[in-house]
Amino acid sequence: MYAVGFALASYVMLAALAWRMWRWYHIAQPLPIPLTPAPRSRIGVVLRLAREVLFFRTLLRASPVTWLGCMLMHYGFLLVLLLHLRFLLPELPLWLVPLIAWGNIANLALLAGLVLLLCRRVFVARIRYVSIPSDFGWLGLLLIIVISGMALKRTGAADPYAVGRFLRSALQLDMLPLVGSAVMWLHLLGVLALLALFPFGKLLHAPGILFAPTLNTRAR
Amino acid sequence: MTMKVDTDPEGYLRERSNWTRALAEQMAAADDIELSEAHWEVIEFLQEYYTQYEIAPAIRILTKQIGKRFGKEKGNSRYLYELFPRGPAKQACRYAGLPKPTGCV
Amino acid sequence: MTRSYPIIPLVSESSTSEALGYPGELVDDWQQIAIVRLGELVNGNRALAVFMDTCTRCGACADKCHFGIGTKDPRNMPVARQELLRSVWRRYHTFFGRHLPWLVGARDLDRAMLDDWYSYFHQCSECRRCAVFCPKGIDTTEVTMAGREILATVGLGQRYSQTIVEKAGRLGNNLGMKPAAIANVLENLEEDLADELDEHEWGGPVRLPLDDSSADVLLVVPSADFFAEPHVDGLLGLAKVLHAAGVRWTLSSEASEAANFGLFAGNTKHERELASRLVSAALALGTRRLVIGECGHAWRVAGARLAALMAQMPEHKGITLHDVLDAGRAEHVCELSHELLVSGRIALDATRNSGKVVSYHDSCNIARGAAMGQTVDGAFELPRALLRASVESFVEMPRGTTHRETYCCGGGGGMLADDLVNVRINGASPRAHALAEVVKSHQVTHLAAICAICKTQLSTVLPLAEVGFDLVKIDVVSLHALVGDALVPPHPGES
Repeated sequence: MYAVGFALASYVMLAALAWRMWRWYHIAQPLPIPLTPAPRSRIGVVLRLAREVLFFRTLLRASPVTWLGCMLMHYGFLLVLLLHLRFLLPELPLWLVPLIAWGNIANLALLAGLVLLLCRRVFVARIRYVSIPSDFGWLGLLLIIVISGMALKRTGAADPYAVGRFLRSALQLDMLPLVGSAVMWLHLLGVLALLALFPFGKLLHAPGILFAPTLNTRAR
Repeated sequence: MTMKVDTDPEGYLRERSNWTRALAEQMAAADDIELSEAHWEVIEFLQEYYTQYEIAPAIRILTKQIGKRFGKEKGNSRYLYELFPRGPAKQACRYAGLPKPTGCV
Repeated sequence: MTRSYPIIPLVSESSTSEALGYPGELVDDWQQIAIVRLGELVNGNRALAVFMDTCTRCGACADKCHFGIGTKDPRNMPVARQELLRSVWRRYHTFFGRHLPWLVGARDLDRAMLDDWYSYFHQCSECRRCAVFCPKGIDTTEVTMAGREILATVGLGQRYSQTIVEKAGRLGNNLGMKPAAIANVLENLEEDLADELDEHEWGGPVRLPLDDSSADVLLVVPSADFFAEPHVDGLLGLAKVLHAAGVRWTLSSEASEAANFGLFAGNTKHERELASRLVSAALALGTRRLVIGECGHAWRVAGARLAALMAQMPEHKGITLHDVLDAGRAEHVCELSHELLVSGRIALDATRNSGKVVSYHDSCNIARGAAMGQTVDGAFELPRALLRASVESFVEMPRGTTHRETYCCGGGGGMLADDLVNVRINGASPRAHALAEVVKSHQVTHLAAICAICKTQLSTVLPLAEVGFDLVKIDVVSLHALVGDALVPPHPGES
C-alpha cells in the first residue's frame, strides 16, 4: 500500500512538474519585460539567474534575516538530500563520502532555517498578514519530515538501507516487505506528501524563477 | 436659487453651450470667490483661446497674453494664482465652462 | 498596521469606455466575465502565468512599496496587492483553490473583492521597485495591469487613464491638442526664445520646428512639454541644445505625444496603437532617427518594447524598426545630448548655473524599465553625466532611494489624477523624506527629473509633504532646462 503510494507520488511529481514547466514554456510572452538594469548578453543573463538561484542575491538585499533562514534551509536541505542518496542508491557514490561528516550540521541548519522562517511568519506582523494557511502547512510538513528524520537517526529505529531497498523496489511496483517503526512511517509519509504536492503549490518557485521574464530577458 | 447644470464628476461642464456668466459666478461663489473684472479678463481670454484652438492655453501663453493685453504687472503666474488659488489652468477653465486639461499636467 | 481610508478613483465616463471598446458601466454578469478574462490573461502571458505560481509570500517586498510606506495600509504591500488577483486565480482556476479554498487562501470574487481590486490596483504606480527586491523576479506591474484590464472589461475603467488613452488615440496626444494649438504654442515659445537670446551669439533664431520633412531627427516629447510648468523649460533647453549642435530636427503633429497610457491600463492593443504613431510619423517625415523626450514610461515603451510592438502592428506589416531607423531603435534624448556633449558639438559651462544645488530623481520607468546608452548602467550614468557637466553642485539622495532602488514619485502608472491626490501625497512621502535629508545636509535647491509625470507630481505634492519642514522652495526642474541654461552659445561674445 505504502509502496504504491510512494511510486505514485514520485511519478505524479515528475509528470506534474514537467507539465507545469511545459505550460509555462508554451505560454507566449507578448512583450519583453526585462527588469533593468539588465545584462546585455546571454552569458550575463545566465550569471544573473545563477546568482539568484545559488546565492539568493536579491533576497539578501531585500531582507538579510529571511536570506539567512532561506540559505540555511535550502542548503541544509540540499545536503540532507544528497546524503540520503547513500540509502537510496544501490551503491555508495564515492563523492558522497566526504559529505557524510556534515550530516549533523546539515540537519541542524535545515531545522534552524525552518524555525527561523516559521518565526517570521508568526511574529513579524506584515509577514503574518500576508501568510495563508498553506504557508504554515509547508513549513509544518517540512518540520515533520526533518524532526522525524532526526529522531530516526538518533534512535536508529529503522534500518535506512532496508528502507532504501524497499523504496527502490517500490518504484518498480515490486514490493518488498518492510518492518519499521511509527516514526519511520511518519517520516516516509511526510516525504510522500511533499513529493505529491510539490508541483501544486508555491514550491514551484524553484523551477519557476528560471521562467521569470523579468530576470531571463536581455536588455536591448 | 442655484442652477442645476450637467457637469462631470469634477465639476466641469459637459456641454460648453450650457455656460452663462451667472453660472460662472455661481461656481466661483461655491469656492468663496467673487468674480472681479480681473477674473473676467482671464475667463474671457480662456474662452476666446479655446474657440480658436479647442484647448485651454498653456500657462506660459496665458501669462504672456494676459500681460500683453492687460498690463505687464498681470503677466505672471503669481498674479494668476492669486485670482485662482487652485491653479489658473484648472480652476479658471472650470468657471469658463471649458473641459479640464487632462494629461501629465 | 491599520487600514486607512478607502480610495475609490473616479470611474470612466460611459462614452469614453465604449469608445475604447469596453462596456460603459458595470455589466450584470461581471463575476463570470472577470473570471474568464483572468483566465485568458494568465494563459496568454507567460510572466503572469509564472507569477501566479511562484510567489512564496516571503515578504521581501512587503516594506518596499512607496504607497505601502506612505499609506501604512497593509494591502498596499506588493505581495498583498498581488494576492488580490492571485487568490481569485487560485479560487477559480486551480484544483486546490476550487476544492480546499480555505487551505490555500483562495478567495471568492465577490463585490467586496471587486471593490478592493478597483481601489488597490489604482494605488500602484507600476514602478517595479518591488520587483527589484523580489527573489523570484515577480513584477507587481504585470499583476496591476492585468487587474486593470479585467476591471475595464467588466465596465470599471479608471476615468483619468481612459480619458487620456481615448484622447491620445483620437487626437494624437494626451492633452488633446490639435496641430494648430501645438503650432501656436511653438510660435509663442520661439518668440520667448528670441526675446531671451542674443541672435548673434546664437547664430540666428532658435527654432522649434513642426512637421519639417527636411529634418534628420524626429523628437517626440510628452505633450506636457507644450503645456505645463516646469516642463516647458525642458523643451526650450533641448531646442537650444539641438540648435547649438546644428542638429536638423523636428517635432511632429502626428506623433505629438511620447507618453503611452496604453501601458498603464494593461491593454496591449491600445499601447500598440499609440506606439504606432511614432513609426508612422518617422516614416512620413523620412527622419532616420527617433528621439524620445523626457518622459519615463514613454521610454519604457519606445526603448524596450517598440520593436516587439511593431511586429504586432498590422499597419506596419513586413517592416521592422531597422527599416525605419538607422539605429534600428528609438533613442533617448539623454543619449543624444550626451553624444553631442562628448563629441564636442555642444559645450556646457556649469558656472552658468552657479548657486544651484541640484539633486536628481531617477524616474522609475527609466531606472527599471529600459536601458540607455551602451552600458548596463547607462540609464543612471548618462543623465548624471549631463547634470554634472551642467551644474557646479550635484548631490545624490541617500543610498537605497536612487538608481535601481529609486522611489517612484507616486504619480506614475495613471495615478496622476486630481481625485487621487491624497494617495499621491502618501506615495511621494519616501521620495520627499529622501530629498529632505539632502536639503538639510547640502541645502539642495533644485530637483531635476526626466519625466513629465515626475515633474508634475513632485512640483504638486512636495509642497504638501510632511517632512518636518517646508519643501515648497525646492524647484523641480527638467534636466534639459539645466543643460540649456549651462549651454555655451555657438558664438559667445559676438553680440
